[in-house]
Amino acid sequence: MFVFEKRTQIPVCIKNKNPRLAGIILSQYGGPDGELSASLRYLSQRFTMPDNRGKALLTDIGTEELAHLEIVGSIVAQLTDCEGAKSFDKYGTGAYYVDHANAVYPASAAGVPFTAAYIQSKADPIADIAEDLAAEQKARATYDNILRMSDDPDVNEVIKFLREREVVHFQRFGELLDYYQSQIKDCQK
Amino acid sequence: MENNMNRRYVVSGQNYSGNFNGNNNMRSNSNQQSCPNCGNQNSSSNNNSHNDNQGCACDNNSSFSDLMHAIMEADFYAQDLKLYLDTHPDDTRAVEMFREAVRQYKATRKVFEENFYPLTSDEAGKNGTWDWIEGNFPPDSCPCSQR
Ligand SMILES: [Fe+2]
Repeated sequence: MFVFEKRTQIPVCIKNKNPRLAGIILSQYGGPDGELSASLRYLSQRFTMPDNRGKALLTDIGTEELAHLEIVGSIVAQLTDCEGAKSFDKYGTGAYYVDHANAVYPASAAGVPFTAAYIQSKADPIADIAEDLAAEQKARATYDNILRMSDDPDVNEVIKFLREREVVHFQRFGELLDYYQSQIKDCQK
Repeated sequence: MENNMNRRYVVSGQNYSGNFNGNNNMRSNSNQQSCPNCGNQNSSSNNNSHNDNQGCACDNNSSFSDLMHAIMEADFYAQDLKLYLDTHPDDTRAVEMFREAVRQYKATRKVFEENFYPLTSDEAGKNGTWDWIEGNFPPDSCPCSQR
């Protein structure tokens, strides 16, 4: 069960308009290593975690990823709020504008629409958590790439927070993997 | 566990400080022009009681932004502890810290909702009107742009 709270997880307060930057950050909304991928991956895999420890962690991280999806969507919306067709074109995002105008659409920076092919769900906790560890590092690396391209301090403040969370999630998934591997070893004794 | 804590958001254990990330460089949307065409009302210019439209209400220590920041801090702290506890369920000190963060979150939320608007729909309608549609939904929820 999910409950919506009328706020973002942390403040999103972007002063400047920049459709080009919005088009880059959009990848963390609907791209291969974005927050939609992350949330659907964990919230799907959780159903077949072998115990409540795994179900709890995947549910809780998957839920936080939904909050991050909302943050990334808010950044994109604020960066393009009220910008017109000419501005999108000037910033090199005319191709996005013609299909979506000022909407927030789940796609990658290259314009590929979101697909569930970005994620896997295997009912095998070792396989699933190993994928999750990689996913967190890929998301972290994507945020690093965004920080290399963005010079907007309001945006970077939020992106740095999201990047940090991927590091924490990686840590927690690592602890869960260690735990399951130690359980397997105990069984084999 | 300390090394995995995100210290920026650690709450003080006292009442809210509104001192969200140690600096006041949050910016409001308040110098945007209102936009009649995109249908996306810029809440800040409508609701902001400041006329100057300069800089950020967070610089002014408004009770709105202080409370919203305090809610965000306390809830973030609780959520971060929750993930830690999922893989360290035997750490009773962390359980205590979690309860304290939740207590603080609930207390600040209560004050916020009494003074501004409901954050979850189960708090709506208490004054006999449908106030759920008040306030600012994302993406218009920058706390700095509020009074
Ligand atoms: Fe993550």
